Amino acid sequence: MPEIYFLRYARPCADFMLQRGEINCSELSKIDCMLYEKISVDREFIERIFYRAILPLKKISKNYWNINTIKQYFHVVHNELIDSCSEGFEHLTGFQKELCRVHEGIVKSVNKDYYEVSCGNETEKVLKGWVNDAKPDDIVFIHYAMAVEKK
Amino acid sequence: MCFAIPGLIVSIKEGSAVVSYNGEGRKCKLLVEAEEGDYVLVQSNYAVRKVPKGEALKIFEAVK
Repeated sequence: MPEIYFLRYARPCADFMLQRGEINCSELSKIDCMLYEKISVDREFIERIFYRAILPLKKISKNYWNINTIKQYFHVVHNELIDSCSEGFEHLTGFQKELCRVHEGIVKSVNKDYYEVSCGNETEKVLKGWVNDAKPDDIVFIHYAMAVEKK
Repeated sequence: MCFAIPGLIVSIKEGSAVVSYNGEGRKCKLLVEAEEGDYVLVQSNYAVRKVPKGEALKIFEAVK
């Protein structure tokens, strides 16, 4: 379901929107219900809440509610926007930018709740998150210190 | 429990920490080396990253 796939990447952003008063606790709960329970998935609601991500998604394709377009956004365009400090990413600190970038890591070891992954010259611990079946040498996409999907 | 906003470690005991968010304490496990007084990012009940204090304060300022 493309909406759930989108929310797997977009969910951390909702915490910032809550802190800034852009959404309320009820709206955050609705996001979590959709993401974790797959209940009442509401495309219009997602578009309203995450309008900053929807705008560049629409530029990629008119038919933007599909996995491939959303994947292209989060794997490529989203990182480019972070690097250029535009479209809602203007105020991120350096630390936030690193966390917010979607990046690949090679699984080196598998633990109960987390993977140790190699990212360039560094090894980091990332939560299994949405990926429970990765094995050593698998490549995972990481967002906010969490594995979101396998490559 | 997932928070993209840093929280402050107020106590640590046997690999678990109590992290304060606006004064409200949440218990989590530590995936990173951290001490009381450090700021951390918590995802799914794990403190997954230590956040430098300067960065944490900038983030708080940005979301005010």
